[in-house]
Amino acid sequence: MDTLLYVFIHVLMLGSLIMVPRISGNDVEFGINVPPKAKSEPESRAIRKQFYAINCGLGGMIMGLQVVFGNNVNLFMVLLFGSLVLYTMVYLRSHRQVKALKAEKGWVATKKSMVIDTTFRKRRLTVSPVWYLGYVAIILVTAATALYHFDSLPDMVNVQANSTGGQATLMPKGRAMMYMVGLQVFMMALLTGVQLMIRKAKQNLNPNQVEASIQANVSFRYVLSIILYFLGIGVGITLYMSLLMTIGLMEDAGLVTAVILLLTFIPALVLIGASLKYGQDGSRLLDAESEDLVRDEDNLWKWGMFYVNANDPAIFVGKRVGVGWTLNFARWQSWAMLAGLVIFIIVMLVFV
Amino acid sequence: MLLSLDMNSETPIYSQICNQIVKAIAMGQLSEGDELPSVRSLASDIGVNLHTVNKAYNALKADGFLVVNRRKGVIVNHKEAYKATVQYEAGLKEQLEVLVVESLARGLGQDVLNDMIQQIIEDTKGGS
Repeated sequence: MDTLLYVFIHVLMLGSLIMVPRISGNDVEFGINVPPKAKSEPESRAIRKQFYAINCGLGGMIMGLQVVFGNNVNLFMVLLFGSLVLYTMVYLRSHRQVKALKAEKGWVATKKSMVIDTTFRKRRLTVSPVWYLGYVAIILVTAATALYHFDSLPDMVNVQANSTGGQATLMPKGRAMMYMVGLQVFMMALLTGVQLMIRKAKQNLNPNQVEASIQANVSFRYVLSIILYFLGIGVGITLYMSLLMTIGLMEDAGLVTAVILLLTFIPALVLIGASLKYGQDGSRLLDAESEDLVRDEDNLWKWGMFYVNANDPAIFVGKRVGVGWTLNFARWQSWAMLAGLVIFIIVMLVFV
Repeated sequence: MLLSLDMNSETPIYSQICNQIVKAIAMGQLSEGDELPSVRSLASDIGVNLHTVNKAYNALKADGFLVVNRRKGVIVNHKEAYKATVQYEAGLKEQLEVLVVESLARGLGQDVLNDMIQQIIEDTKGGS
C-alpha cells in the first residue's frame, strides 16, 4: 500500500512538472517572455520535447528505484528531494535554451504598454466571505470536541502526527489537545490568507485583448478560489478525523487513510484539470497567435521563477512558471510571511 | 474604467494617470461617487512607487476631481467641485495662447486648429 502511495506521489510530481509548459502564461516559455506565436515555432517545440524526454527518463528511474526498494519512507524522502533538484536543473537548462533562442531571434517588446481595470477588485474574484463560516465551524467543532472529551481522556494520549500512518507520539493530553486545535486554527487561517492573496494579487491584462483578458483573469481566480476553498475544507476534516482517532472515537485507521486520500487527491486532480483548461491567469482562453511581445520582464525574474522588484509595491504576483501566485522577494513582507510559516512549523515540531 | 499606460512614454506615469482619469470623467465613464482603487492597490497593479500614484491623486484632489470619502476611500467628486471657474478660464486661455501662437507661427491655418479641437470634442463625447 505504501509503495503504491509513494509511486503515486512521484507520478503526481512528474505530471505537474510536465504540465508546466502548457499551463504557464501564453507569453512565457520556461520563465522567459516570448511572443505567444513563438511557442509554436519548431525551435521552441524542440526545446520542449527535450524537456519532456529528459524528465520522463528521470521520473521513470526514480519510480523504478522506489518500486525495487519498496516500502521505505526514508528512501521516499530522498527520492522526492532528489527529483525536485534534478527537475529544477532540467528546467533551468530549458530556461537558458529559450533565453538564447530569444536573443538569437531578436524578440523584444515592441511597445511597453499596460492596461489596469480600476474596478478589478470589485469583480467576483474569490468565494464570498460567508463561505469562511465553514472554516469557523470546523474550528469550533474541533475545539468543542477536544474540550468535551478532555476530562475522560487518559493523562497521556497517542497523537497521530503523520496523517498517512506511521509512528504515533505519546504526549500529555493538555499539550496534545492544544496541538491539534492550534494546528486546525493555523491551517484554516492559512487557507483564508490564500483567498486574500487571490484577491490582492496583481492584475495581468493583455492590452491587445483587454475585455477577453479581464474575463480570463477573473474566471481563473474564481475557479481557483473555489477549489482551494474545498481543499481547505478537506484539510479541516482530515485534521478533525485525526483528533477523533487520538480521542479514540474512531478506530478504523484504514477508513481514515482512505478518506484523507480522497479529500486531498480529489482537489489536487480538479486543480490539475482547471490548470489545463485555464492556464495561468486564464491565458489558455486567449488568442495564442499573437506575434506581439507586450511585456518583457525577464530581468525582474531570477531563474524565471522568483520575482524580485524593489520598485514594485506589490507583494503577491502571478507565477511565471506554472499556475498560481508567488511573492515579490524584494519586499520585507514576503520574507516576514515565509519566516512566520517556518517558525510555526518549527514550533509545531518542537511541541510534539 | 480602464487605465492604459505607456511605460516608455516621455509623459510621466503620474500625469498619464491624471489625464486618463480626467478624460474618463469628461467621457462620462466615471461619475460622481465612483470609487477608485486605493493608492497601494493601484501602485501594486501598475508596479510603480506609491509616491507616483499619490502624486496623481493629490493633483486631482487639488483640482477638485477627486475627494476622499471616509468609508469608500478615493471617489469622484460632485460636478460643482470641479466646474470651470473664471480663474480656470483665464488660465486655460493663457495655456491655449502659447499653443495657438506657436502653431500659427509655424504656418498652421485656423481651419486645421478648429478641426483638431472639433475632433477632440467628438472623440470625447462620442466615446462614452
